[in-house]
Formats: sequence, C-alpha cells, structure tokens
Amino acid sequence: MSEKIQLHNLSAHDFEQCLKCSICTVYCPVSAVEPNYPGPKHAGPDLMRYRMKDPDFFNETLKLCLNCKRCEVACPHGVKVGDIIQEARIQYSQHSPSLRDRMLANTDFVGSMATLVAPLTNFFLGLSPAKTVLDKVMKIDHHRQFPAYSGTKFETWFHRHAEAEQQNYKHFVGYFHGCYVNYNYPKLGQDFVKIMNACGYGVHLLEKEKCCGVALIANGLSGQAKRQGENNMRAMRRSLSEGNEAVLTTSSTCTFTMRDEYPDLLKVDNQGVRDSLMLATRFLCQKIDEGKIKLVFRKDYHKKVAYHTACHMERMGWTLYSTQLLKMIPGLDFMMLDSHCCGIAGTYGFKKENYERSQKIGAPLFQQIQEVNPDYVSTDCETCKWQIEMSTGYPVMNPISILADALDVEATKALNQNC
Amino acid sequence: MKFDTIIIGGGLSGMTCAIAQAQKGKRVAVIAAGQSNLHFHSGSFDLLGYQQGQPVCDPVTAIAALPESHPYHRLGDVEQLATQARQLLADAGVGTQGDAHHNHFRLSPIGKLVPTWLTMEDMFTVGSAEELKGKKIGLVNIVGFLDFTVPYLADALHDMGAEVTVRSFTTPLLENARRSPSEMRATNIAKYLDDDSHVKEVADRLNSITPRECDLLLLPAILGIANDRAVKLLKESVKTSLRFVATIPPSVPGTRIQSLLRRRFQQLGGTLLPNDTVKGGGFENNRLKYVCTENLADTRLEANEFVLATGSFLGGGLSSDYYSVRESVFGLDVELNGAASHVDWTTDKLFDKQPYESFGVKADNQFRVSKDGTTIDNLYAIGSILSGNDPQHLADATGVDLLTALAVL
Repeated sequence: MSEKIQLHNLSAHDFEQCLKCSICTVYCPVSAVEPNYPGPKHAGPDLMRYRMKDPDFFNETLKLCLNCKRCEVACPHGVKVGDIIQEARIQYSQHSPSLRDRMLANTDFVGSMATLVAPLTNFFLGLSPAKTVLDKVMKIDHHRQFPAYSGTKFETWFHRHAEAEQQNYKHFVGYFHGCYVNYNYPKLGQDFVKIMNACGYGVHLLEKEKCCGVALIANGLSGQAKRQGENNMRAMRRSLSEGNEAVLTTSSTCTFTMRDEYPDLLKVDNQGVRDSLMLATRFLCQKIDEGKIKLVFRKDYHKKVAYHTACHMERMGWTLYSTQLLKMIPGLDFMMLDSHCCGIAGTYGFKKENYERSQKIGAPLFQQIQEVNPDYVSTDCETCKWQIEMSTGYPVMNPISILADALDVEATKALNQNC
Repeated sequence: MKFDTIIIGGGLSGMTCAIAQAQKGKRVAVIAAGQSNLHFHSGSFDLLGYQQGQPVCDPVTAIAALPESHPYHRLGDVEQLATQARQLLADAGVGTQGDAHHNHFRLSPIGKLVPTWLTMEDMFTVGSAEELKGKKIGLVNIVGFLDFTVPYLADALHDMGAEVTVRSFTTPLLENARRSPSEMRATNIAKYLDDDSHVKEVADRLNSITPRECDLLLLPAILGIANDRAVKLLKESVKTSLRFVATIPPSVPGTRIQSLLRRRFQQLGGTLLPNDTVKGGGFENNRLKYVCTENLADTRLEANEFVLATGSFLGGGLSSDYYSVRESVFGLDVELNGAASHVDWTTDKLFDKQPYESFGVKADNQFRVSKDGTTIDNLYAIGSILSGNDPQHLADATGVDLLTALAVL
C-alpha cells in the first residue's frame, strides 16, 4: 500500500507546497506600487496550475516581475515562486526581444564596443539630445544615467600590470570579474587583487569568461544565456582543476545567477563548480574564521557606512559574510539599512515603461539613506550602486572596495607571510 | 562564525527572545526559514482566553488551574514576565492597551467578540458586550475590498445593541488598486496609502460620509505596514473617533509587528539570516557546539547557547508522515501525550480539541530539550514548538510565545 502513497512532494519548484497564505505578496516590491501586476502568488503557483492545462493562460503582465526573488525569501514553505514566474516567461512568452532589449542584455558586445571609444561613448551618453533620442527611439528612459565606460578593460589592465607577479604566491584563486568590473569599473577588480595579494593569494583570470547572462534571461534570450553559461562552467572547471582553491566574484547577482539560475532555469549543470564558486567576502570570512588569513586595518580610517542588502544577496543568504567583514574594520561606524529593493532590477529600470515604477519601488530605501546620511552606502550589487548613486547622490562602494581602502597592506602582508 | 546566542526561528517567540538577549549585550544571530505566522496576527496578544470552554476574566489567576503539562507552569512570575513583554513590544514601537488581570474583547474579522490580554493601540476593543448598547457606530469599508466581511460585522454589532450604519468610500488611488482584484489586499492597500497625501484624501472622504450622529467609526485595518505613522495621521485628520478592525489575512498589524521587531533587533546590533534553514548541528558532551545551514554550507555557526523557536506544524518545527511526528531540525525527543499511532493524532470533528495541536518537544523546567533521553544543556525551546499548549481552545499561543521567550536564558 505504501508504494502507492506519495510521501514526498515531487512538484516543479515545490509549487504544491503553496498554502495560498499570500505572504509572498506582502513582500513583493512590484505589488507594493503596481495594481496591474497579478502578484507573485497569482502569477506563480496559482496560474501555474492553469498554464499546465493550457498555455493560453500565460500573459505578458508577468514581465512586470523584477526577478528579485523576495517572494522566495518570504515564503514560509520553500516554494520557488520567482523561479515559477521566470520559467513561465521562458516557456510560454511569445514576445520577441526588441533591439533595445538585445542591446541592454548583450553587455559583452556593447561593453567591448563602448570601451573602444570610451571617452566618446561617455560624452555622448551624457548629452541631453542623445538621451532624448535613446528615450524616444529606443525607449530607454532619459532620466537614467548610464554608468561611465572605462577606457581600458579590466582584463587588459590585469594582463599588462598584474598577471606576471601572481605566480609569486603559494595559494591561488580564480576570479570571475563580470561585465561591470571589466567595462565600467576596473577599480573594483584592482581592489580585489590588492586584498588577495596582501593575504598571500595569487589571482588567475578565467580563460574566456563571458557575461553571466542574467540580463539575457530577463530579456527573453535564455538560449544565448545557456550557451554563455555552459562556456563559463567549462572555464571554471578548468580553473579549479589548475590549482585554484575557489572561483571568487565581486558581484552578488552574477554569483546568484551562476550558482542557482543556471541549474534552476537554464538547466546548465554546475555540479563540481557551485560549491567552489562564491563571493570574495565569503571566502575571506571563512579563511579568517579558520585562522588562515589575517587582515590589518589602517588606524586612520574613519567612515560611517550604511549597508544595503541587494535582493539576490538576501536570496543567497550570504549578507552576513559582507557585513561581518565590514564590522571588522575598527574605524568603520556600521549601520544596517532596512532590507528593501532599490527598484532598478538590472536592465528593468532602464526601460522607459518601467522607470517610474522602479523609482517608486526604491523610494522608501532612498528616504532612509537620506535620513541616515552616511559617508558611503555599501552593497555587493553594481546595479544597486548605480540606482542609489543616481537617486540619492550618496557614493556607493562594494565591501571589497571599502576593505581595500581601509586595509593596511604592508602590515597585512607581513602577518600572512607564513601562512 | 561565533555568536553568544543563536536562535532558530524568526517569528514572535524567536524575535522576542533575540531582542531580550541583545538588550543584555549579547551577540545574537537569528536564522529564519521564511516569514512567520505573525502575518496572520489579529493585532492582539493572548495570555489565556478560555478555560473549559468559558471565556476567562483574569488570565494571570486562571493560569494556576491549567494542567501541569502546560508551558506556563515552568515560567516563574507570570505577571512580571507579562509586564516585561509589554514593555519590550512598546520599546520596539508596538504600543498596546490591556491588563494582565482583566481580559478585554477584540472583534474578530467575522464579528465574534474574543477575549484577549493586549491589543495594539487604535484597534477596536470593548470591555464587555454591554458597552455597545445604544452606541452609534459607522461601519466603513473601501469599495471593492473583499477581505472585510461587512454584513457579519454589522450583524454582530447590531446583536450587541449598537445602531450600525454601513458606509463605503473610495479615492482615485484606491479605485486604481482594484485593477487586479486578487491583489486588493489589506497589505497592498497599506503600502499604497503609506503616503501623507493619500491618507489625507481618505480622511476627507471619511469626514464627508460620517453619519450625522456617530460615536465611532470602524475601519478595516489597512494602514501602517511598517510603523503606525499613517494610523496616527488618519486619526488626527478625522473628526469622529476612529478604530480599526482586523481583516482577513495578510494582516497589516501583524506585518507591522514583524517589521518593527526586526528593525529593533538590527538596531541592537543583532544579525538576521532571513532565508536560511538549519540542516543540523554538532553535539558534544550533551551540548550543542554549532549548527550548519542550507545557504552557509560548510561555514559553522558556533554559540554558547541555542534557542529553538521553530513553531509547530505550520512553521515547520514539527513535521510528520504516516508513521511518526518529528522535530524537524535535530530529531529531538517529542511529547505526543500518549498518542500511540497516527489514528490518535486527530479526532473526527474538526473543531473539537485535536491532540496534534498540543504536540511539541519535551522540555524540562528550564526549557531545555532532550535527544534520545539525554538533556542538552545549552539548547532551549520556546514558543509553539513546546508541547502542552492549546492555541485553538485556550487561546494561549502568543502568551506562550512572549513569556517563554523572556523566561529562557
């Protein structure tokens, strides 16, 4: 008799665990501002039952979902509400990505082209007439400030200025730098290398790294995302087999995408990689706990820092690694902002039809930041950084950059020499 | 990673304990697998509502007559703990009205008068049904809001002798909110209204629809999702006396309590892991040394003391299949009150006392749990994971949550 009774839940994304409690709806940032959005419970497990019978029940309002996964964080019963919605979009959407969507999503292509002529690109993107054209023709909202493109890619800097000396170390890690570091802000990558080197770790880049693909997934280009994902997994497997203890990252969303969205949404196998792929803050925290790394900080570093939890960071559950590291800095006055979506959701906030909604979603966060009035806001996500800088005017730094700023490099090197 | 105290579970009992320990200067971490039962909260806290089927007048005194197995008997000074709990809530921004020696009544979403100990300020309460005789009450709802059962409430108030006039109103913002009917919920309305100009709009409408002779306006609890600012603003802006009645969940007052407790805990320097599940831990010499979680993988969380506040079946603290009931995290000893097999876990009539509702972990007088018959010296259980309480028939759940959270450690 017991063979005929289903003892365990077998449904995709655990959708049969849904109790219809509606708690996910309470925490959905879109539901808070947008009456047209059916809400995570309805768009997810409710409609899934209908969609399984007839794909006609899919509708395009699901594209209002930010893919922030706060519904999953809130769910008391482990239903992967966000995944259900994203998978429905991948499976049933008939909407073909526009040129604008392709451009926003293809960060490698656009980034490479833009950095070739960065001064011109940056100048052009800052001009009002240009922004008007982008707004009217491409429907990229004219309020959005594009992040500046760097003249030199991080990879180029690394090959020219850092690669050679990396072999002087006894321990090694791989580094997935991501598009932001490579095309917009190489300094973050440089900060990362500075810290790892001070701790006695050499850094190796991956062979032919590609964009993690999160923007491709969000814009209906999951086929391309899957190809890029498979490329990245090959590169990481190779990196781990060549003596690198782990593959580290400095972006929360890239990390979450490659660890979880790859297997859950794209069916890209990351076994053998996932456990060794992590944020640099996690790696550093663990090594410090184990007594294998020691960090020494400058005595003249005094800053008030307000930490913002990016949505995917909360979903991964790794906030405490970044916050514990920041709290180790003696001169740092640490404050935790209420965990609240900033509203940009990657390429979502750049689109004209989403801009106002994005700003409404982020408004309570921006208000709290004004009230707190910190020296810096710190967060592990680069698009949160753009959004907060644009919407509040406060400078935003990745915890790795703050650590690098506060680090007493010589003293740290001395302490880690014998490890 | 090392802490002084690690609390497993982020609901009412877990957060209360976390705040109390953080106030003592300890480094506290709370691990929560998801959001809590507070999202169904009525807005009131109960020490003891019923005994032998009858409403209780003086809960502190009535507690003495509870069976020995009830967690309240392990508490010590109940009255002192009750006062402490009330102060802790107030310090977090949850102001309450009530008296531990004298239950008042709240109005349930379908119009029943339910005895209770503390109710959040601005929610509707009465000392007795007689208070409403002859009172002129304006019962007001928002057009299109389905989670407020006006006919039941009107009938119930009428039966208590009140003169009830029913009104409804809307504003352009609220009319817009009806676009997605399944999403016009109390919590979404509270978020749309979390804006002074929208609250003033509502106030204007209320002032214009209030019946000429009206002692009291009753509204659904749809204001104040993160704090009570919007509630206070509305009350100031409306000419008539105004109180709120609990809606069908998700509960705005409950969500507010959760937000305020979380904020208070983080202000006190506490660390919250809001989306993680403890997979197990390392025991040595009858002590728990560390726990491991789903997201942190090989990072061990060490502490001097651990508190299990994982809730009952709903929270996932207890789980069952056709053969057994288990404590989900560590497989601790459970108390099933003599139930031999699964046929003994339930009784046929749904609203009769169900044995499974009193299931929980075995705990000694210091709330320490045991595993395979041996007490674990530094692992404590609080809240509904404890055995012996009876939320449906005694109305004691939130009292057990708050008081055990303060009595432990």
